[in-house]
Amino acid sequence: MPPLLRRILVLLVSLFAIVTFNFFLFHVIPGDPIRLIARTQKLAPDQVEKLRQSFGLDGSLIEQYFRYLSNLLHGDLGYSFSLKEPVSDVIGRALLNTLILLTVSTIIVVVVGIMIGVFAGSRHGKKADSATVVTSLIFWSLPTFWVGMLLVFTFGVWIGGLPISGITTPNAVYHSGIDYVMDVARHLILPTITLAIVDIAFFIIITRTSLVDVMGEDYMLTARGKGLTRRTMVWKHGFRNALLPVLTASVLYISALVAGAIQVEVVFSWPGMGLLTYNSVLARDYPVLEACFLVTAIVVLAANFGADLVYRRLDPRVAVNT
Amino acid sequence: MSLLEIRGLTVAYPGKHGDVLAVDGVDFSIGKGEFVGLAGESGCGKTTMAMAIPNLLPRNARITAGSVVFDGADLTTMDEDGLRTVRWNEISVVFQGALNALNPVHTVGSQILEPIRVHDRGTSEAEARSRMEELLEAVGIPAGRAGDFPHQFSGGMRQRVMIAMALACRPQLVIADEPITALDVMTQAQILDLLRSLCDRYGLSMLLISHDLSVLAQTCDRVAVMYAGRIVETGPAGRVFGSDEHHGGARHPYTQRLLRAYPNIRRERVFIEGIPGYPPDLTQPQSGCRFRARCDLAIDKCAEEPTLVDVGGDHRAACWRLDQAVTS
Repeated sequence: MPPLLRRILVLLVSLFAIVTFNFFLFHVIPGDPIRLIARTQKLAPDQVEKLRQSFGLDGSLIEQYFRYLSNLLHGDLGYSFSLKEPVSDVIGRALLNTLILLTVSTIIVVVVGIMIGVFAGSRHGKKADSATVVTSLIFWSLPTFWVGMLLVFTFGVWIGGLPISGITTPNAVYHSGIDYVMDVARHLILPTITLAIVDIAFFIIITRTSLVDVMGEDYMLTARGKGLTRRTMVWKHGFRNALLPVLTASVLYISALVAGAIQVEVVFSWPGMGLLTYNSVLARDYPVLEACFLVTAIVVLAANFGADLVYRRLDPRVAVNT
Repeated sequence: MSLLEIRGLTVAYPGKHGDVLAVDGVDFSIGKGEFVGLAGESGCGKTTMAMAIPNLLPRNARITAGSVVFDGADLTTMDEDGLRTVRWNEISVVFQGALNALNPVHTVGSQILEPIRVHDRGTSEAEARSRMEELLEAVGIPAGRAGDFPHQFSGGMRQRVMIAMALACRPQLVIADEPITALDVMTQAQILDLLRSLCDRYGLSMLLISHDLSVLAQTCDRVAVMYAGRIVETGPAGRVFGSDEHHGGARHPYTQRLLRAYPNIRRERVFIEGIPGYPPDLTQPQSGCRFRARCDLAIDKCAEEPTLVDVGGDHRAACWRLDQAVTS
């Protein structure tokens, strides 16, 4: 079997396992969602049964499982208990908002993180390196929600001037598409800064450590012996090899971000996946939660799959061994 | 006029108790087209001395004294920009253990092309490629494998790639630092033959570093023996290793003991004698003859610094007891 086909097969099997696990996880946790929806003990048994049916919670667990699988294959993610609308609509909106936040912050974090990391790593043991490491460690140890709250306080209360909540200004009237984009961009600034401050530090440390290791390799001495400029040495020979652990870190990072920039989204009321998950937990909105987990799982699997393909291009040794 | 002229070279590494002099006032030269061997046990400063030539020393090492005059220019006073034009273009290096000396993420072809592109800017892409292919063929690797990565080659082939790479800019001097250490005996012999023949073919000078005296004896024109950061004996390989019947053999007690520590399949079977004791601790300041603590012939005079004395036929040794050493 060609390796690519095998990987896709493994991907599908993993996905199936995750879907199954997800389903049972949510159905064995204690608490009856119908009681929560009914909000009263005084509902007639036949009415309870009707409610149960309408949310697909009747029948044995196994029956429910196969019904869930079949619905899933038809693209039906169920109906939200708390929001009273199809889960796919809810998820679609939230995912889009998270992707906007994620794309902007990931690009900034990865690019800036790598640049500073290479800067520090190629100056191993010098003052610039130590200063970068110490600063990064300080920023890395800052709690995300705390940084967010500090920014909310600074820009919302103290200085003002930047929106601290939501993705658009409520009741705003836009005269053009550009107006709208600018409004979203302004709302993006603080959440992005919050994510970036902590996460850039993570990428700086990973890149720097990886590059320091690589700079000590024999082939770096060869590169120096060849009379290459420092720049060529560091980027073409050093960074190209140091990139592999950085790529792994990026995948983990993207996976973590989808599930949530939960802290950031809650602090800034950014209507994305993190905030949705958070609210769904509070409301015991199982269909939405199931879908959130599913989306997260798919993104994690896809990111890993993508990384695998990139790895093969970056490191010729990987392509042979697997 | 020799190609490389090293005078009083001293290289220091910072240590806990002051500087460690890995190379301590070494005089050394290599002529045009000459194949010179450098012998000595591990830690005696062979590699440090060799790497000091194109100034490829680790960052904490410093050249504290002496000069390295290559082709009329002193490399120790040259700045990085100047050194960059000399490195690989004039002096290339075949590194110890080619397994790690090749970059795993670039094809061998592109790694050979790289120095050509950097140093010979006038060369067209097609010329560079054809030179690269010609070099691969010269070291016995089919040119079709230029697109392969280092991990797809065996150890011996990687060393061949490394040699092809070292010759890419047609340098005047190639430094081969233990080029055959990690290879099996058959491959060792092939690589040595290759080095020797390429050296003759392109008229290069070669500095071959090895701890294996038999390797140096069979390939080199001239050898130098290092002990604790100093050169203790140097001369034509035939004279120093005594394969030349009429001219004595090794004169320095250290070289003599070193030779007795190696088996020789051509001679009668004798016990292999180790040299008792250990090389001196270079973290402590040294004076006089470094070998005197382990030397049978040591006298009070040996506490004074011996200098290299000509014993005839360009053969020189640094010992106060040369008259005694002959007969021992």
